Amino acid sequence: MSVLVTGDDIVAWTKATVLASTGCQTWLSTTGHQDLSGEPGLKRMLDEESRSGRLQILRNPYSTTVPDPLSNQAIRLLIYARNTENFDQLQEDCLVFARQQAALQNSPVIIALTHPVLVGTTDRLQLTLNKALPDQVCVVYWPGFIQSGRAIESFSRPERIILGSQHNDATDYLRRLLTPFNRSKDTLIVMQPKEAELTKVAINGMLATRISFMNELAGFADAMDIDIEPVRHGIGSDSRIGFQYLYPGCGFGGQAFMNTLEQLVQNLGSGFQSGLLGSVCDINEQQKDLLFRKFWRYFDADVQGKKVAIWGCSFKPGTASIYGSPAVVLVQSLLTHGVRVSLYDPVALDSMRTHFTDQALPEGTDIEYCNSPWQAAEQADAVMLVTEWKEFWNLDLYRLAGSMNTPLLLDGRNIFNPDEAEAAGLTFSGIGRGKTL
Amino acid sequence: MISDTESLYTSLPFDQSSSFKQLNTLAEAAPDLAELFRQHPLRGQMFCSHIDGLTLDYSKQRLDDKILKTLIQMAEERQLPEKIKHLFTGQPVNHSEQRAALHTALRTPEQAGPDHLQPDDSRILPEVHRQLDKMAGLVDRIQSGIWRGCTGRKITDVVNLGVGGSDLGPLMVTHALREYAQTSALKVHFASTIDGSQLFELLSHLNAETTLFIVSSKSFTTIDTLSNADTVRAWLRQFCHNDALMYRCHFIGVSASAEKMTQWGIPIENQLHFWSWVGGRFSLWSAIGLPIALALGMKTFRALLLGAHKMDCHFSQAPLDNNIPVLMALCGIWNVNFLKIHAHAILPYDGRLKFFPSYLEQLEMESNGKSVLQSGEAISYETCPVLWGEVGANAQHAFYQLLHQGTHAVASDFILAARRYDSIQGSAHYASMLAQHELNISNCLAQSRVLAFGNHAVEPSDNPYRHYPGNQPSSTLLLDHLNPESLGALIAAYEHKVYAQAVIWGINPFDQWGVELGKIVALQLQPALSGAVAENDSPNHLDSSTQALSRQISQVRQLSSDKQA
Repeated sequence: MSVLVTGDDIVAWTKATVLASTGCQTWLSTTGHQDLSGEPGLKRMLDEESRSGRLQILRNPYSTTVPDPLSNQAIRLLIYARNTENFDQLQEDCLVFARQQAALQNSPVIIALTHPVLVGTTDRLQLTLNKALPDQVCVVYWPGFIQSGRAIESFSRPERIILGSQHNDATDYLRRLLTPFNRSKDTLIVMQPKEAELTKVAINGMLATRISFMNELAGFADAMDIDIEPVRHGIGSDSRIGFQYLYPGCGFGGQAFMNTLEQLVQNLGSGFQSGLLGSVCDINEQQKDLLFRKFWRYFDADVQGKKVAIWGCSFKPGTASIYGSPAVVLVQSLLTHGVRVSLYDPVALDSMRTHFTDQALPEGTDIEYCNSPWQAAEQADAVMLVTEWKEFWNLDLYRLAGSMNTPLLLDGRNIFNPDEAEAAGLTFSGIGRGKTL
Repeated sequence: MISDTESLYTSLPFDQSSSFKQLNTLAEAAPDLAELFRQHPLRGQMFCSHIDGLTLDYSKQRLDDKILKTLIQMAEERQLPEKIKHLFTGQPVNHSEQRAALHTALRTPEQAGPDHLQPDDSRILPEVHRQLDKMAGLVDRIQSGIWRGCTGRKITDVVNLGVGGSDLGPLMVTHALREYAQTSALKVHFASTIDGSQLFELLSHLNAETTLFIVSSKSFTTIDTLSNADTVRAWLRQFCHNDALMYRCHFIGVSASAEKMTQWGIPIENQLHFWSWVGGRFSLWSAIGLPIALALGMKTFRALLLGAHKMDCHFSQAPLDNNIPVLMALCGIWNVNFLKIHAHAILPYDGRLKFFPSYLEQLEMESNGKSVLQSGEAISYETCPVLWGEVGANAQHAFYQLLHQGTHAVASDFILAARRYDSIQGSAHYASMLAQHELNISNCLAQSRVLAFGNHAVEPSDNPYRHYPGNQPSSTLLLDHLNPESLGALIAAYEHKVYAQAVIWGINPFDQWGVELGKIVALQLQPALSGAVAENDSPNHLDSSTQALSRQISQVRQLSSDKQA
């Protein structure tokens, strides 16, 4: 089977690489360079597949259109792993591919959209392509549920595969393509494209809602001297609810997650106003600022010239991505108030460096990038824990208290025990751990 | 500076000039409006004046070429061109308080054209721009969320505490230009009344952690504003137990008195200044405009300044007979002093200008409601008319009956924007909004027509109830669009109209002694009402009416507090 994947993000790279590993002849048309260092095994697999010749990467820096060299190659499937806000661009890209390929095929060409889209996009694209090339193109919606940090696994061992398709022929083709990942039991769920589009964004909407709900409870818990941890256990023990996505924290991020959520907000915003989802997003944005507010209150707003260490910058452990990470928001707020900032992260420091060189820093401010949590915390007036990398969990808190100028530990992921932290001489505040600052 | 300030006002009283007598004679024979239009079918094109985006049509004023020429001659006799120069260059045109009135400097760009009249004192413009930049910095910090409340939260609401010039201008502009807001994140509210009504309502739903208060007062002694500020301070103290933190995070002061702001508690970094040479009712262009900039963005505020500056250039450079503010002033003088029309209605046909009439009530009546000359001598002719107004289409269902068939002669200003609703082109309700706009325009034009021509505008009728005498004069100010620039120009036009009239009447438009006595007497009465003075000690020099009223009020209040106890 032959597949062309177009896209720049982790979804595109993962799908192209893993499909090549199943013996598909695969082309990846990309304009960018994706940092794969946070994805265990992906870089190695990519190199292997490239060497074998099953995966060819086409650098196509000027446009997102499908490149010329493929004009004589018969490829039935295009996986379109790009954002689709610009419908004209999407339509143009797909037309180029379909025109090239329709002439080389006996069966209709298949175009699979994978990114979160405005509900109705697949059908709309089908309609416009029908006008240009009647009965020669099938458009389907095949959402990628690729999680950063476990990209290969989430693609090759899916809980379920959702496919929005109205074409039996295209459904059969994709079912065949995905057989290597769909063996022990059939997890493919086929539905109408619109239904699949909504399913994709609604899943993340539900997860985001759970987290923001927990964050709201955590705010209440703080004010009422209640520790949220036992409450979380109690809630999660109800089998109707379960334990997943019940952690209060200093805000969620991640490109795929945030894009999906944004797409859902847009979907719900057109036609009727979503009060709930708006609040979910508001609460999350406020959570990202929460550690700054604690710091501000602790020092009665007298923060200029203080030093803050941030432990962990990626939006979650196991990835170098800082997209939507609270660390970015915090650094910005701290710098604009004249606070000196030192950062430590085992993987994501380069991402922070790139982000903050690209945008001008406030005048007279600088960021210190550190090789260890200790270096960052040295003489600091607060440590803010933002990402729960495993290496932070059992650090020596006595040593920490001794090395800081003001022993203030703000735990954005509730990984430390408040009593232990206080016994070590730290002033401690977590998210909903029953102590307001 | 002119050493001889006597030359700032002309010695010969207005009513003794030769043109005054001539105008009186002309007024006796003044034709009615229907006749004027019969005589000159092209009047509508002749009696109007344009600048970029703004047209003044004064063809429905009861004057002809000869009258206009004589009015202009009178303006020249009253040395209006020289006095305009005095205003712009910073001469002490406010004689009773011996100071300049340099609101025009507030909107002069840093790099003003060489033709533009500037203050003689070269320190003024740099200082104006220094404060504007400081204001822009504050606006940016608040809008972008850098500014934090005492618990570290970002500001979501701003309440402007101010009264008179520190309230009406910002309120009017903020309301008028809402659709030009560059950011919708910040909600701006206004509280002015001494009775605390607006605060009572606002404090019931605002979140103290995310609310910032602007205390705006030129003198920083205005009791209305400071009593509101004291209430706010008491309210905030229940949420913030550290006074220094509360002042730093929740108050900005805008005043000409840094010392008084500091005394009240406003930290220096949170102070914005303006100067004694800015009159309160001419101050929206200064840091008093902070609520405008917060609600609509600094870019919109600067566009407002630019529009006003363009009108300044026009006022200081255009010949008198094609000078919009001067023509507005002369029509007013003609109506008040010669046609004896002592009421003036302001009728914007635009809901966005809802607060424009109240704004002008202060601007015109506080400025020119005077009966002494600059020198202090009493005068024997009429000055500012009674001025009031309302959004025109609504006023049609309120006081237009009196305009059309009452017993008072009333002059009117119609204000209208030609284009509207461009921003919603393509939406489902665009066509019907446009139809509403057209309906509004036709109502505006119809009303000025019926006021001018009465029954002549339609079929005459024998029915006495349906008799419309007409001959009520009006001007129409037509804007291409209502936008920041055109609103700036419109406001500046009225400011200059006020100044030109004051020059002709020989009065000082920049003081307001008339409002002082009431303040003093209120302060005398307050102890009696607050119970600080025993009832039998209450000042028996009071008139019996005030005594009886205050006695009754005390009884009612005592009774209800007993009940509550």
